[in-house]
Amino acid sequence: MKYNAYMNNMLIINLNESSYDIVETPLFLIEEYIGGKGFGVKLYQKYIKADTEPLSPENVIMFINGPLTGTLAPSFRSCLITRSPLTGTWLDSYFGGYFGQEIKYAGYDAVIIKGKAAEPTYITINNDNINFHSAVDLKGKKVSETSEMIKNKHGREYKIACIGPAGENLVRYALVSCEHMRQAGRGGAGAVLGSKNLKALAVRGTNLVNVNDKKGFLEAVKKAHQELNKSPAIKSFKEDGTPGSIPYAQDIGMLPTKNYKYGQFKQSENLESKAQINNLWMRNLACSGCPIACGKIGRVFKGKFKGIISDTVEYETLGLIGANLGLSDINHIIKIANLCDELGLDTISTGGSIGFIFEAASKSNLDILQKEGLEFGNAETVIELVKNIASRKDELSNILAEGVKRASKHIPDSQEYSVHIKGLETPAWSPRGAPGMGLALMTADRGGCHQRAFPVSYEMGDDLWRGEKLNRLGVDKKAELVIYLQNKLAALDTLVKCDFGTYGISEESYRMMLNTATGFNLPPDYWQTLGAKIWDETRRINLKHGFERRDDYLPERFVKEPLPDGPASGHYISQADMDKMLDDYYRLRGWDKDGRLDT
Amino acid sequence: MKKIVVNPELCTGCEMCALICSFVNTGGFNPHRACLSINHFQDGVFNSPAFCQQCEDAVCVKVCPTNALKIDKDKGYVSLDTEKCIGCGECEKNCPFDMITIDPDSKKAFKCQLCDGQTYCVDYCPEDALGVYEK
Repeated sequence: MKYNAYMNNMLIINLNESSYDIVETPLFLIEEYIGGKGFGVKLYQKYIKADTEPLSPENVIMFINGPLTGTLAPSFRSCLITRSPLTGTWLDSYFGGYFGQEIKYAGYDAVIIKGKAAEPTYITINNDNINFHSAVDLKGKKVSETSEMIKNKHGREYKIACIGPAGENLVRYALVSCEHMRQAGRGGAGAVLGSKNLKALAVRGTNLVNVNDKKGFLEAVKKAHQELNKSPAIKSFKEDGTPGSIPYAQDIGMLPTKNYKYGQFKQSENLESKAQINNLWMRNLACSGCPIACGKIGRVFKGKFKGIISDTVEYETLGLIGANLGLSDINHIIKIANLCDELGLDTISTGGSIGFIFEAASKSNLDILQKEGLEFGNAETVIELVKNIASRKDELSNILAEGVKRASKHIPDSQEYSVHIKGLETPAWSPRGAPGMGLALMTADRGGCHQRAFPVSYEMGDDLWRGEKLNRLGVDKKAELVIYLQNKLAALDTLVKCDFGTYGISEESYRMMLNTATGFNLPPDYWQTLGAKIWDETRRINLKHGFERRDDYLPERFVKEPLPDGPASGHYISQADMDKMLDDYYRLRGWDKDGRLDT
Repeated sequence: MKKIVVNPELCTGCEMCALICSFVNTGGFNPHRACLSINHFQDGVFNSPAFCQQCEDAVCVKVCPTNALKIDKDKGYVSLDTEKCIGCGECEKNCPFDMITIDPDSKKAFKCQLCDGQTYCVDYCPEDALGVYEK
């Protein structure tokens, strides 16, 4: 039996021998795990052992698509799965754009990369014609230069995924740049490619992605488009992109400011979308098959940073590089975001790490911190540090390149302001005034991440949970809400959905698009069942790597230090609150009180 | 003659025109298999999709050795008879706009015929960036 919408093949590359295999996509993966994150949880356990070092040749990195990736269905992406060098556990990192689609057009549901090349290498994949090339000339090149050099040599039809200098230098939060302006940002997948001496993959393909029921599929797509058009949240993404969240986060006191000390930033207006409309944006930019076009691309025409071409400086970057570092000049933030993109650094972890070191410099007498300019609001220092981190230039940048968790070990008494969960720097949703968001961050399978569940709108009363308005600062029912959202999003990450699409597209439309595309006959309640199964699998992976209940807690800043500003001023998420939510969470998931399963 | 025209300022690069085009004309999805092409990020910022110009004095028609291509003034486009096409590639070599290709599966010429008046690409553009120009 072959299902439509799949390419039914996976490409397995072995860099040790510059060899490859094309194998049939196992039917059980398709039928039981759909694609994307679902394939990922099973393939991860097949290839990666408990003691596989993330930066060793034994680690495996996988580009995985979903069945709807590469079709007209809105809005689908791809993911990268590996063991993270930043956290030491499961990493699923998602990217939009065009690269994942091209892997499908080349004929593959997944590209699985093993081993380590003897010298810097890039790979071209043109349908089933796969070649290994020396990347010696690409060494040290920024991502846009890398991409241009490969396209100039092999043809502009190729779509490129590559790493920058940060990935080559094994910065633990180096990203993978996936074609123009899109990144698999979090968790250090770029360092994994760097450790394998793999600078880039260039892909093109002429295969077709077929669907099972053509008429039914177009009808399901039409309904999803109608739902997107009706959604006020989608309207906001279309007009303002993600920077539209700045005034919201400021109002509710969740905008991380000065290493998460505060929840509001006095100059937050300077970070709102109008700043980028005036200084950067020229037109809307979409990923393949997406009618939302949340991207806003443009060029800087005047001033010191003239000539920079950049997509939206996203909400997360504005939060972590802007408010969290005390920077309020949008031109500086555009420059720093562009540097991070080009050098191949995750802006969230970069902002988290630099914010940590700025606070450390104000509190510690350590020699290494006695450097002029290590202070919030100093853009020139941030620019210098970003460049230094990517090249691991000196002792300080070497410490920063390891991320907050490892950096804090070098600085005595820094635990109280070291902000990460499971080693992943937390995103720009500071949770002290929203315990449900705290639980979502605590339990996120890849570490401190806002994309596994985002209960904030329910906690603020904008959405009702099962017909009821929740108490913002309370902990009751937060676990069941977080589990519902986590299951739904993990299930849709098998497709692989874009987070923003879920603000408009109904669960029923996702099901209809999948059923008509593939020929499945999945029932209406399928997403919760599938999602729960995937969360059990990622929990098994976390347990396998030694992550337990003790790792499911918030950093001290959110637990011991009352929020000093905003509408939730004075609040923090106490140890008792965390324990109550975790007890509920484990019980509702069917795990024991230590968060274990299969016992 | 009719032709599909674009306002590049409105184009977001979403490829929905190319996706629906490939679907209608080949049965599956792949923007590379569409009879239009999207030039991503000219100048780093703008997209500019390109369409068959349905030339009144079409080079492809002139070079076709089997008269498979002809100017159909009633319908307003350059039509292709795949029965007559021998896949020699002369049209592909000579089109000044690179808008006619040899399909890798059928091995025959492949070009825009305005979906016989349906112009799905125009209908599916979410930004209303495409239109039909007639003169």
